[in-house]
Amino acid sequence: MVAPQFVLRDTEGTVHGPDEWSRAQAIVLFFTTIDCPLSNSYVPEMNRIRQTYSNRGVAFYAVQTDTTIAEAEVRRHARDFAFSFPVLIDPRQSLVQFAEATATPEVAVLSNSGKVLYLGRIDNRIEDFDKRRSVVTESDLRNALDAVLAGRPVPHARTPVVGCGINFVTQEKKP
Amino acid sequence: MKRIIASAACALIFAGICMAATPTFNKDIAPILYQNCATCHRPGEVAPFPLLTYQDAAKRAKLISTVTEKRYMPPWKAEPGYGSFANERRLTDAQIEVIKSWAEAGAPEGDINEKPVQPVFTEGWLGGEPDQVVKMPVKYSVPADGPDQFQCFVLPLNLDKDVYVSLLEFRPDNRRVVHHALVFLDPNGAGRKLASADGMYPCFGGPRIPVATLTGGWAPGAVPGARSQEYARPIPKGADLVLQIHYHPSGKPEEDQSSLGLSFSGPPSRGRTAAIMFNTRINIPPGDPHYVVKSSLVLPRDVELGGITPHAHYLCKEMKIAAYLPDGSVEPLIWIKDWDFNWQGGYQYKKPLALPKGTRVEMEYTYDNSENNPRNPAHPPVRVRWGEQTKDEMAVAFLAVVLPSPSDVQSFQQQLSAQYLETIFSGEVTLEDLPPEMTPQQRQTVTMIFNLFDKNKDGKLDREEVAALLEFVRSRR
Repeated sequence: MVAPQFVLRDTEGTVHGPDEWSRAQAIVLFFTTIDCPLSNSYVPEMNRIRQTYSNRGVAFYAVQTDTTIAEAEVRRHARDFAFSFPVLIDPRQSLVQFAEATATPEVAVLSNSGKVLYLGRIDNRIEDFDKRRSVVTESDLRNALDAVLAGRPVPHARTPVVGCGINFVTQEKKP
Repeated sequence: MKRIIASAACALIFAGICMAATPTFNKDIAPILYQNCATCHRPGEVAPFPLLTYQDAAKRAKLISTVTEKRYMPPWKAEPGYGSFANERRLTDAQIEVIKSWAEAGAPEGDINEKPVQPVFTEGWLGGEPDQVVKMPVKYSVPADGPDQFQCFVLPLNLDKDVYVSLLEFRPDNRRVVHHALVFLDPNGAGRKLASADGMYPCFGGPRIPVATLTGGWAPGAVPGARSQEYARPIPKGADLVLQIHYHPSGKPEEDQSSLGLSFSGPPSRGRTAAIMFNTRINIPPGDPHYVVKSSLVLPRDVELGGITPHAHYLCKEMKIAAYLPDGSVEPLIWIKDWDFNWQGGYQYKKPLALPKGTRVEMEYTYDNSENNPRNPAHPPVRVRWGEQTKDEMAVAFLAVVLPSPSDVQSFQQQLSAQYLETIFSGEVTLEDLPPEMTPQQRQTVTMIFNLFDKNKDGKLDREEVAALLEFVRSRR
């Protein structure tokens, strides 16, 4: 597995690249878009997860998946929702394609060499669009990070995501 | 490209099999969206994104296809063919199929000449500029995440005379967090006593005011009816409105200050009131996936039924209400197969239903208190009884009744109260079965009656003792 060769800017103008990943124990990508309510509702929980795992060497990034939204709007949204980690602008969806993300809010956990160790939901709060679990019983992302940091295999490496399907950028882009 | 392949395939196979060309936005999708979605999915309205232009829809084609196929959107919980409702928001199977093939084909735009004209929507108050606007007393702060919030706001009307309201419209302020709202009439200031200095108090199942009457509600997509003096609602002077709002955290701290618009008219020619159906005898064992609660009500006179508002909490999964007319015919009133507390609301009939005296309305609600019910607030499940809190359950239906004249309302309610007592005192009863929202005075009265009829003083009323009690109640009707 070859680490993806990308250089992406975040909403505050900082440039991020694979060299940054090689220094981390693991990388979390949080696929999001500004107008997906399910995705937005997870920002506070993602901030809490970052708080817990960032001092254990895990690097966190959000990835804006809808390429049609103006960067200024993505920046305003990142500030409004108080993301505590960089929100990457990914105009060619390179990270979406690399991780094979399909919906927001989906998360990927990568090894520092870029291997996708986990892809799926953050937890099982959202059972379906109209069914929310009152009590979360599976904290999939936390469990995956615990496993990766302990050098164990991730128990459920793929889990289903309920959310807003990502629209892929096509080669022959419509005007 | 896909379209070219599809047309080529059409040319190869003979025309009879090649049913329809690939749907396009302009020809097939836009009409569906404009008719069923755009009332909410337009700038400034409750939905999270607009669905007006090709770009709006095309980039969300997969999402639109998924949520329509699951019938999550448009939100409409009542089963088709079981009650005929105004403003029904429901796609046909064929429409859902068209959306799906459009999304699978890569969401083509199609011929611009086939695009329908974008509908013109009313901005602001949907029912026109109201005569009086009452706003929530303070901005309510909704935290970024955590459980949903249920808050009651007392809206003093400060009326110096009785008025008649021909239209009551709720206008949400912060549409990212307001999930639904109910409006109650509080005739004697009970809400003010419950409220803190800023005029609000937490309330989940209801306003916690025994004498409050439900006078209106709002859920996304709700359309206010026409102003009508014939059906105007009397609001006595001194009364307050209590607004219950269900807030849904959005992911960031939010504030809301929603308002109600009131339009006034002269006195109505018809009487409007509610017949409440309920069963407080709920006692669901933990783990029970199929617990049934029933209740019935016999209409003491001819009425017209304008609408119905079923109510239960998170464990309820199915609701069915039907009217059995004296001539043996059955009028289906409402059937919700997958009850969702988050999408509760009132259902108005397309045409008021004439229900003659002696009609028996029967409700049957089913509850799932198992571990497999993701909405179960308890994990692991616990025993659940009647109550107004999140962890409790309810079995209630408000029937919006129209009577020939406003003067009929009082006698109608008196006739019903005897039946309410029968509902409470059905089967064996102990004082613990009394609904917790009873006022101390009501509780005292009922306890007195209870002790009077508990001949053998064993702390419960057996069938015989209940029969004697009901005989007494009926004789005083």
